[in-house]
Amino acid sequence: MTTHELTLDDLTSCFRGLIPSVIATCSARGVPNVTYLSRAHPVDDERIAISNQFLSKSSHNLAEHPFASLIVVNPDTHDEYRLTGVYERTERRGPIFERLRNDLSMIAALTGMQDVFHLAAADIYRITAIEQLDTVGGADPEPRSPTESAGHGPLGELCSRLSRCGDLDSLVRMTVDGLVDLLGYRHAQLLLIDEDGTRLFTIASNGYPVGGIGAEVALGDGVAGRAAARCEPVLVGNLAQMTKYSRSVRSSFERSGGIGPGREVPMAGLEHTGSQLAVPALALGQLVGVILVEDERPEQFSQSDAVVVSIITSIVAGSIETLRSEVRTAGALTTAPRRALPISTGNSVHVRHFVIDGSTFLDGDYLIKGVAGKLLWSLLRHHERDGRTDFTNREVRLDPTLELPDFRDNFESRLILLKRRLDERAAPLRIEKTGRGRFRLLVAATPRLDLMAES
Amino acid sequence: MVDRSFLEPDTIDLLESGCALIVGLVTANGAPFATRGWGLTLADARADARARLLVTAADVVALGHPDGALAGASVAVTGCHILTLRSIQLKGSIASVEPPTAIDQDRVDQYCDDYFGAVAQVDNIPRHLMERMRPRSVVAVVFGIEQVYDQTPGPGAGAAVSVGGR
Repeated sequence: MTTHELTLDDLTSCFRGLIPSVIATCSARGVPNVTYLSRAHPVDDERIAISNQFLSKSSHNLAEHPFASLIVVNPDTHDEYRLTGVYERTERRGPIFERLRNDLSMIAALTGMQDVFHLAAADIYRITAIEQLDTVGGADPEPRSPTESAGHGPLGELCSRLSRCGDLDSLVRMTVDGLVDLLGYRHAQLLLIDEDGTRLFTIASNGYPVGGIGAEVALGDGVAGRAAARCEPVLVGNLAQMTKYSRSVRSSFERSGGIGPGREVPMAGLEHTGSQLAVPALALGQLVGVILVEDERPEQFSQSDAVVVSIITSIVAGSIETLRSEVRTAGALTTAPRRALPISTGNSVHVRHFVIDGSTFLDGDYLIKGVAGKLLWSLLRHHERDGRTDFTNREVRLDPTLELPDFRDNFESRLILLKRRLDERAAPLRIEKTGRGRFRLLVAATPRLDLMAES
Repeated sequence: MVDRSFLEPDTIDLLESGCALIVGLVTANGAPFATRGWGLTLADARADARARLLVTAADVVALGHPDGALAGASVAVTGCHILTLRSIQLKGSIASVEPPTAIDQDRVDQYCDDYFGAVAQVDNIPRHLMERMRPRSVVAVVFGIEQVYDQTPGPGAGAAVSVGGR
């Protein structure tokens, strides 16, 4: 810094990306250009890096007149600062470039643009002056601080409760309930990886108007998908701003013919999400799932939250792997099939099942698809054929129509997903656990089975 | 010179709304200078396609031009819709810098209401925080519109907007 007391260190908050920064350049003839920046990061105590992907006019100006004026905003106080910069160089590799590229790819992931929306370059500027803008200002506002993690007591309590869970159903329920009720997060989801290792599905949630059990997201898509793909926590404090930007860029690509219209990655459950923290759950180096906590407000999570949730994910991942292996072993202790329980209501339920993807509907309403849908269909066929309602995990997982892979078949997760989905829908068909590795199909209405083959 | 009547109505609506207005000026020694706009009004006279842009008074002084004389200097102003980020940039030459009128003061108040309200609604940023950005005083920069660009984020950013078929 050459002329002012303010330093880049004082402006750290301005570079969190919550409020877009502004850059003005001008040509050698003195014609200015002004636009917003997608990302800016401090490089050292006198340099910043700016993401450059759509700054064609600014780049042209800098080539003939290497000066810039920037406005950055402190998101906590809304104090504004004008930075005078001298363009030094452009980087297309290295740690600075990678940092900005990571930010950009997160934005791209929000609308499925990972293949087309890339960082072109990182422009490095030396900052020669910083001044605070002359505004009305006022009393310093209360800074918006991230949600303080609840401390060791509630964390310890949740760890203790998780370690006492004896089956997958209670484990997943305890996980999301504890995150909300004990640790104070407003919204929490547990997602598990599917059999192919390409998608995550929600197996439990808390704090949402609709539970969203069975909702899926591809690895790499959205915050949860990105945490899974990278196997590292992803913390986003300005999701609304990033989503807006991502939508705008996607529309522009669509208009230019660069990509076809696409479905936006559905953000988990909330109509307006301000901040999200996704932490991958790993056991023995393998991805088991992701815990996602989120909030309508921006900037609600900190690195300490990431640490807390990481502790929970470690316990959950280890427990899930242990339970899976235990259930496989216990499944050998089969019992004789019982006859069906009497149907209590006399009603019927129309079950339509599509072979092509396992999509299953109850009385015309979508229930579930994939392995869980095929599982329900298999159980109902057994019930129709010989009246069975009691099953063991081991025998059912051998059913070839489920198309389970030989390795890491995820059967227990799918069974619990089906159980929770049926519970969520208050369906007349339910799954009830009857012992380790055993369960019962509860039938409160006569199923009318309708198989929809491929056309 | 661009005639207002040749600007698309939705472009006029955007620029005169509570969109985010960012401004590029040039200092006396030829350096770029970023600031914010606090209301933009496009002139009605077809033969005189001028815009009246309200900017922070202290920033005009900081440009260092003798007596604040900016006439003939270039200006760029980008209006960005708060929700869609659709952005239009006008470029032109400054005709005059004028003290604010009572109408200008009302325009600033109306602009702040619209802009801060949109930010509160879309970005969930409280009004009292946005109010801290309000300028102490403004001046009116009157300029002739010479070029129009689409500055919406994406691969098409920076494309010239054809105005009235020209």
